[in-house]
Amino acid sequence: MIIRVQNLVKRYGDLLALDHFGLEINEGEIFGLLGPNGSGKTTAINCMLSLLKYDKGTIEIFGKPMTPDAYDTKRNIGVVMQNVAVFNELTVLENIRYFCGLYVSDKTERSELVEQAIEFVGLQDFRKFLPKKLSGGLLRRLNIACGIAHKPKLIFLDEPTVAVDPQSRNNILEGIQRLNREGATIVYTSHYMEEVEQICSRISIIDKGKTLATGTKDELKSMIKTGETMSVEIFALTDEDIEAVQGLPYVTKVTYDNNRLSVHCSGGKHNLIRLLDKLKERDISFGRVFSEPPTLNDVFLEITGKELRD
Amino acid sequence: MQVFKTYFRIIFHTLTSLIIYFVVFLGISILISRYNTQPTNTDFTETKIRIAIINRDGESSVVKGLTDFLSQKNTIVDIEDDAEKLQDALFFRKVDYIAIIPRGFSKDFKAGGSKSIEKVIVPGSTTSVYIDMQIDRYLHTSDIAINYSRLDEGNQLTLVSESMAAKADVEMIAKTSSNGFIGYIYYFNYFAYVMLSISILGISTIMIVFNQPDLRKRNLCSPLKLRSMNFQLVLGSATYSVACWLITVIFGIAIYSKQLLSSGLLPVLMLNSLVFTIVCTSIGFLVGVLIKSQNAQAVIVNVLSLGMSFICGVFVPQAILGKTVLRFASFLPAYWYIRANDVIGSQSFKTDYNKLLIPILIQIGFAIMIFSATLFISKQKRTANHTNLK
Repeated sequence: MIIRVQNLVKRYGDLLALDHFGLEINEGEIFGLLGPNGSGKTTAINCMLSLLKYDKGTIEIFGKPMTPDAYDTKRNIGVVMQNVAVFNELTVLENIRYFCGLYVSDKTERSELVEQAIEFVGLQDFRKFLPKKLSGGLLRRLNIACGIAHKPKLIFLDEPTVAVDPQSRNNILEGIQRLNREGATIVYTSHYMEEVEQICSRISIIDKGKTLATGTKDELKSMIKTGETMSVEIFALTDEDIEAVQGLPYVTKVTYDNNRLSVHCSGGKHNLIRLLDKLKERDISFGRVFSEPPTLNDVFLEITGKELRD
Repeated sequence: MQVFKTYFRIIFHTLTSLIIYFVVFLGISILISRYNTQPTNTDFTETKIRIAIINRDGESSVVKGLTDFLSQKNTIVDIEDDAEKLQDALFFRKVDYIAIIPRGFSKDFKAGGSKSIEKVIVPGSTTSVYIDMQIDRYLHTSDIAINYSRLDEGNQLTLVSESMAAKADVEMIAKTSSNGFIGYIYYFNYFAYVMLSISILGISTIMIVFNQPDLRKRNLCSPLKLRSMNFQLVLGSATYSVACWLITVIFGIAIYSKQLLSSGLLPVLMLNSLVFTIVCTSIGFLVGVLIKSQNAQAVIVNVLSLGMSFICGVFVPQAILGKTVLRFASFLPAYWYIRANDVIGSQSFKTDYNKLLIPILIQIGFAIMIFSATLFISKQKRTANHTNLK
């Protein structure tokens, strides 16, 4: 177990930011903390990093209690903050060298690690650039390089893709997966469910400072009643046809609008085959067919009754 | 020593502003040193002008009074009333001014007439103006005595003599010689402005950068101990301040080498300026802890350095400043620095060491007080951040 958080309570005055929050993260995982803005993700991370005092609970990292003085533990942790935290007065190279130097005292080893970090984030051509000369995407990459240059065993990435263009976002996500393949355990927070779904091996959904559900994406999806949603292009459909589709097993809702039949299921297998058989049986001709499995947003919606991005 | 190295990398980025302060400081200092190579008399001694009085009017109280008054102020030279002899006297500079009292002058004067005293002077003579002024003053006073006093003629003469003899009491508060001595004292006084500016600018820049919440969080996540980070910041500031002090002192020695070395005052001037440098460093720390933006920093640097310099006697000598201003200034460290400099300049500390020791100890007190306030505020902020950082 790399991280164990139990019964964490954090209050900001009357506001309960973390309400008996808990999680366990295993070595080698990319663990996603998914929740809307203000759900307590960053507060949880700040508590885990001992940047914030908390009112109750325990935090263990690498099997040891995490405190502000746990310097040996901190040596193996890398942090990429939500906001870009670099020196505007230093160049790209100087920034990475500085942050790597806080962890690695050997000059030769440090130089190698800095070079590797620059290559890793693809900033080779920007070594002597000041941060203000970099684009938003490149700045995010520099932020990541500063956090991972010392090759930590555990990396916290707090919404690293906020305000980043799609191309840079893909680069960042690929980089995170590469870090994981190289042996790092990742704690990744985001309110973008697609990202979390794409890269995380296990996910914790949190809202209002509480852990609502934890598991792999399949485990989370299997926890809810919502199943796949099927869409079929049909040019003519009678009310009787719609009633017939409604009568199929596991079908919870059927709508027909703009020549598109949408069928929502609550689970079950072979729903699409059953639907197409029914259409054939009633001699209904159809065009393109789509089937969408439930998303984490559906999971969140069913658990909390609201959209993830509310 | 990552923090220490980074300290100077960041300082390097503010180098332009720092160099501007230094260049202006050195430029003014060099100009003043040049100016002070030409001796300037700061004493006043009344000089007597050689004059001749030709009385063609005969004896009268007005003529007698005027002659007595002029003879007190000037040297009277007797010359015969002969046109050729009078011209010779002027030509050979036996006299600078010949006053001729025309016939009937006294009578006309008492009657309020317009007859005036004639004069013969060397063409282009400036000293004649003084005699003109003396004669005008005397006659004007006599006119008042005659027409408004209701005294008899004898008493009128006494009244005019007493009035003309009246003097204002002048007390010499400070006296500086004209041998170039004032130049390096001025240099070390002006040092206060430069050191305040560059210390606050340099040190607060670093503190603002390292106190940025996100950077601070990132540093706190690292295995770098907070004590070590603070130590490196203090070490960096101390190195920076001492380097600035040293450069400034070396330039001072270069500009005023002869006077400074021969006066034997260099060690005490260095000591006083070093103590003030420590005060400036503490102010730099305090400003860096209190402010967050570099826009506010520019305002604070100017307000503190210029404000303190104006009211503490950096630009204007303390002897000229008003009592209220000085009373207020005494709550500021720059006042004590300048005061110590003035004591060093007058060399009065050689007979009474306390005169120098007290201002220096007060400066050290200021430095300790400001450092303590900085640590207190910094700790309060850290505690608050650790509780409510978001």
